[in-house]
Amino acid sequence: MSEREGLYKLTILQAGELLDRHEVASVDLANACLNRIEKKNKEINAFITVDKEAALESAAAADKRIKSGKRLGVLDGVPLGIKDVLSQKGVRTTAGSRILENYISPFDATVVSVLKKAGAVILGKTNMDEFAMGSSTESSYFGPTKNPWDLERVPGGSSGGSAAAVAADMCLGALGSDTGGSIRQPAAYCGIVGLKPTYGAVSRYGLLAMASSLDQVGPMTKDVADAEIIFSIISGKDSMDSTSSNYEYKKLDGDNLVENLKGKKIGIPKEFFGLGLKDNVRKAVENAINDFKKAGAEIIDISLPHTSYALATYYIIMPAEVSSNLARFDGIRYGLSEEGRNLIDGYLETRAKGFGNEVKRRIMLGTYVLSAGYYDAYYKKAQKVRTLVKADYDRAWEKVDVLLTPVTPSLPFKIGEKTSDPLTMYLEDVMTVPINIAGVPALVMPCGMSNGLPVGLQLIGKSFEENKIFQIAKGYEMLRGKIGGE
Amino acid sequence: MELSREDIEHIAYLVRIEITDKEKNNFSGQLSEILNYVSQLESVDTNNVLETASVSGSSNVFREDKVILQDITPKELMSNAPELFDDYFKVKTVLE
Repeated sequence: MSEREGLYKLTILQAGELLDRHEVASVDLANACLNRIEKKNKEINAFITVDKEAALESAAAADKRIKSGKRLGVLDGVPLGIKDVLSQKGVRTTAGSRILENYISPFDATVVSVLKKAGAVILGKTNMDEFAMGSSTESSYFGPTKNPWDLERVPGGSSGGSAAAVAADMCLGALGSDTGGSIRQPAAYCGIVGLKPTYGAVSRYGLLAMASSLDQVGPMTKDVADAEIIFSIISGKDSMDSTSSNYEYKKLDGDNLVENLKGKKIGIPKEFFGLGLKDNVRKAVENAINDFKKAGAEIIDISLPHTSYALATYYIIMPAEVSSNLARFDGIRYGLSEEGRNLIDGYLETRAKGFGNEVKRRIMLGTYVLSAGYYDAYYKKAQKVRTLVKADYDRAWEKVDVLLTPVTPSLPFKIGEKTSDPLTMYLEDVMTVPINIAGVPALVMPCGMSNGLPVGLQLIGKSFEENKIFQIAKGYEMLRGKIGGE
Repeated sequence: MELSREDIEHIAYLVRIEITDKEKNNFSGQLSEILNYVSQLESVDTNNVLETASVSGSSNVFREDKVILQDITPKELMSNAPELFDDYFKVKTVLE
């Protein structure tokens, strides 16, 4: 590659090959991305914090290793972005909130230390909805992120900064987190690939907790192979997270990727094709289903009868867990601290000033549904319906390898369009939330364009069968070819 | 389910968030609307259905009660505190 500037367009795999052949240096890759960030971040606002010096330092260290033939692996020397909900030692970690505006994390999240050990170059921390609560990145204290495909539109959320950064080539890949669609919906809106791993597949130690029975960390990348690379590195048991599972990722091989689709059983859950699905999204997803069929996949109609209840279930369980997790922000041990006349006033003022509206709403809602007299009617009921939603998926795996669905009912909406009515914003998550409720993995990838905006599809798999999802997704990616401008 | 301004005031105090009169109005309308939406679960038959406590099916995870030293000092851990007194977090008087 003669044009050093164009290096930011590379995928992780491509960059790795050039690094291995000593055709580019990690410092060149880092500089290409940092220049791109400098040029683009003003308008897109994908990064909250960029640590140029530290990035160039770790890139130089990677170059030293590579020069002496000791490259650590596929991520060594590769520049990545990290959602600002993951702790990074010595770096400001805000979760998009005013209450953590000046918080410097004293430790690394496990996924961050794992990436560092693999030699990855961390460019900075990406923008997000406050405490990952939102579907548009508009609730960030640091201002909204814009969708690189249309700056008047949202990039989705809550991992909108990571999605926009990858789509605008500001980094080669990124980490996001997904509680009800926060990796997948922005991936769909920005035309990139995102994976919400199986609950328990990736450590959450150092992830600022939102809803602990739902949260997962996952990759956001330019293509499927890159997502697989990052996932294979960050997944596995961590003694610091007791919910992480003993799990070792095993890639499914196969030379002819398209050939792998032959005979695969792809389930189409009819419920996902209601839920307010717009015609332009439906058309792109149905085209993809036809492509799968032409490649020899078996298309099987499936019913997941409790799908329509998943969102209501989510909006009880999630706020309940939020209200508990965010009780720790008391202005005493870290974060914003308001003086107050006495102890109670200090709490009241710190939390009033530190939290934005969406966070306040969810803390209050969660406390209400957990309170005496309402616990059985709301929380306990929701935990029972969760069992029914999960059982729908358990039954599906007896018939199919993966399920294929749309990701969102409609195309990316305009900034400001949905901020005044929380419930309208919540309905954005109607096709992604059931997956977190069931705890299963799901990958989102682009499948077409409509009115100049990307449309995504979602491949849902059985727990800990990410390898099957990746195999099928790679086959479809090959079949589909390039999408959009580039 | 309707949450009144007084309900909101009470919940806000429980969660230690001071709210303005305008917020009381907004939150009362918005939270009532959300509660109405989630109340659709009442129509789901959950007789003989157990609650999902852990989606991965894992139960209690035990480890040895042994201190494992991390590569971090207490001073570093407390470095974000607004106010310290020696090696302690400083708080306002609890009992007046």
